[in-house]
Amino acid sequence: MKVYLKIYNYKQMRISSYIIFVAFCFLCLGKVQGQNATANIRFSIPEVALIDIEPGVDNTVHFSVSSTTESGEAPEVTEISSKSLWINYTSAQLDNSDARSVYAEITSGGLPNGLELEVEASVYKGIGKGNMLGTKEGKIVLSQSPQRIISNIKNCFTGDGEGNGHELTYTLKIADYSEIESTDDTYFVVMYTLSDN
Amino acid sequence: MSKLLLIIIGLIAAPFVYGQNFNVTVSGYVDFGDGLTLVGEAGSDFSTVLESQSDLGLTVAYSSGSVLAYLFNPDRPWKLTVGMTGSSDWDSDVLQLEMKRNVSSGSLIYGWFARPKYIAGFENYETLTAGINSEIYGRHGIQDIQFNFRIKGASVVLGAKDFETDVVFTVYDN
Repeated sequence: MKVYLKIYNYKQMRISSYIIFVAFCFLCLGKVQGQNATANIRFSIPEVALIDIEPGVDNTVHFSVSSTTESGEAPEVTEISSKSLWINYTSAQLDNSDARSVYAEITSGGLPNGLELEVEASVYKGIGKGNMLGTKEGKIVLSQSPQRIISNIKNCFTGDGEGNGHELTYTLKIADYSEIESTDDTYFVVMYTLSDN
Repeated sequence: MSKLLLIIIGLIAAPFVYGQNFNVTVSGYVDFGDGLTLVGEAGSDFSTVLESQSDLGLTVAYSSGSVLAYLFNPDRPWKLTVGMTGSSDWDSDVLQLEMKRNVSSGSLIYGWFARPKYIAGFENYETLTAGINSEIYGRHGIQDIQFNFRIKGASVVLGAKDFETDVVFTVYDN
């Protein structure tokens, strides 16, 4: 009988120890482990190529070629409405894209015979930002073919409105006096394009 | 015999009394939509803050998921840490990711015997970093905790590309 009781107590002790061990394990697991969940965040910046001229309305430049009062003198070219025009642009490109350029061309109407219209963009000014704001290309003579006036435009924006971007300077010149004729008012449109090359 | 019964009950109850790990799960998505497709005027940049239309729901639950666990051991406190993983697709020098918890969101799981819902942290937008951020504290299991995200610093200057990062939520028994 005594032997039986000893065996019982021994088993009881083993079971109790087991319970304590299991409870301890659960307790430890509950305090130590951290478990993760992940939320994926993504957004895209699209390609952007926007250009405009400021001011956006009433941006006509008006020249006059008048005869002189003195015989033997050259006709006078005067800019009647002297406006400050600015090119603004915003550009975002894919990696490894070629830098963009601004091209100018006459798209409707035409210059009277014997005259040339030059345009030049200033160096960049304004409140914009970017790793490559455009570089001016110098003075060009406008024609019906596109010609580059600003180059090396990458990911940037010039700032919006007058005083931001590149100021445009127009110069009307008499190229060939022998072709000058008297004409009525002549209108033509100069278009600027932001292009991928 | 009665001792043996007590031992068996103890074994069954032990997981519910002491062993309640938590797990956290995330469902839904974070969508910034077409917020960046519009630049109002040539010469302008994107708007400075981009807000998400988030349908992201987060649930903190007892690991066992058993009704008995919530019944025997309600109101167990937990802590949720929030971190951002570093990514080559995320320009952390320029882009700031901010997160806010929708304070009215979230409901108790099997909350019949629990105290009213308690959850604290991220009531206002906070910037997330790869390091230590603020934490969220709560108790009991809570499901469908919603968050809004916003991004500052998105600009055409970064170029046209995709940006991606992960926000990692880690739950601890508190």
